[in-house]
Amino acid sequence: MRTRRVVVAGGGLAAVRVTEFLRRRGFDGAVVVLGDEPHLPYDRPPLSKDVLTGKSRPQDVTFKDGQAFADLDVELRTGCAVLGLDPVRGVVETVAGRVPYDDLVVCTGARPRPVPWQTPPEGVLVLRTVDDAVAIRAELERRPTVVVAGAGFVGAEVASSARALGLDVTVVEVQPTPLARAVGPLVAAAFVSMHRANGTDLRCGVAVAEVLGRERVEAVRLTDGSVLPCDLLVAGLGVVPNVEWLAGSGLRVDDGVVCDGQLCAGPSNVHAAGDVARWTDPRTGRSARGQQWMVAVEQARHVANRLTGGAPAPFTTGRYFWTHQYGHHFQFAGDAGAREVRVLCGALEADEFVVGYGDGGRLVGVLAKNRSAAFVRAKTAMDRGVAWDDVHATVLG
Amino acid sequence: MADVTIDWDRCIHSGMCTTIAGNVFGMGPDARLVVLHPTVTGADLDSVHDAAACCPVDAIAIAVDVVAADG
Repeated sequence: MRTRRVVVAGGGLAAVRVTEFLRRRGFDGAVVVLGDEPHLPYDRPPLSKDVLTGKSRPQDVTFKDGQAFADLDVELRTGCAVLGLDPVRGVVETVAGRVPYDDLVVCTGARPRPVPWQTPPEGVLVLRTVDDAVAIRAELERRPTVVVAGAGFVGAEVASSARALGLDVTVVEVQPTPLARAVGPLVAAAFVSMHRANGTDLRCGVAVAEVLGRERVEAVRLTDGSVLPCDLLVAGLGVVPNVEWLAGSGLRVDDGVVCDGQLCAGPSNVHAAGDVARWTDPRTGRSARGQQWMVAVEQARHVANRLTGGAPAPFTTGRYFWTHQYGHHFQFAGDAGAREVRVLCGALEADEFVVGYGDGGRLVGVLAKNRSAAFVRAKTAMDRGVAWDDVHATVLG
Repeated sequence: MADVTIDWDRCIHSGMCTTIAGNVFGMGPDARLVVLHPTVTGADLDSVHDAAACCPVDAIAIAVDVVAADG
């Protein structure tokens, strides 16, 4: 007889990895995944890249087929959106009825921030799900003039994919530079020049003020008064966590599910992982949501360790991310909010570079463009606590 | 026992495998990522499975040796 049932609310990356890590660690109770989408769980990073350019088909991005879930003895329920939580009784309310649990893992992710404009019914899209990607791909096949609102990772990758298809693209970013928070203001300049070198018209310090067009987008008016004619507007304005279903549950919600350093969301049998989880990083003391692929996986691993009796160490992350823009491969790990920034090799305007971020006499962050081996060397040195003054020799020697 | 390989066409050198399974993955003499020990057993196999799950591009293949596993 089975003694325990783990229910995973959500069907994205974190949810799938939780189930895999649980089984890998010998968990032999029941495992149920409640995904809201009708599709098999899939990987999001290819959506803004290969799916938009047509290099991958939507079915190519699924993690695995239904049989693979069955082989792992994981009950996957698709189209099963969660509606409410009663942590006292240990029950999740879903569109298909009540699901009792012994342990719950909240992996309900996030959704695109709603656009702040009045929009016509057609030609204004966001990118989060595979259905979103299919819709944008269909628009791109009509060879539109494209405006992208927001030059974050999603916006930049959409712009890059549209340029790869030879389309006219304008990106509108309200901040003075794109990705300033992710990579620091100095390095952000490298992304500005890259957009422009690849034929994208990047407008910083302005925002879309109004969307023009009755049936379909015809143009956008910016906050500086300029009007950009377009046939497609893709909004990449960030995401909001899917927490509404937790209203009245007693769980603390504040731009995400508030977790302790162990990713426990209040009751000892409720944890969270992925974009929905807000936790305080012991290294920085800052409360944050991860919003990165690797953080979701690391959190899934941590939660699976907890549920299988692993040592109660606080969750930590290497804060790794990658992005692919205009054929260039960027990788980052660590902390970009550091005091010092040094170009370790190459140049910010060049096709290759490695940048180190230093704080407190240590290397605390690394960003590389098309320098994968040097990136791994630098990251390894950082993990070993290399001194800031020794960075050059260690990374390049 | 299992044989571990990396699909170099997929690999983006995130370095996650060296962080998670440093006994199996590491830097070669030319300072590039390599599989240090392609045949893996015991506790290393658990860490290799974790590394595969943490690989952003699903580039790590683990072929379990069925004969050895049964024997």
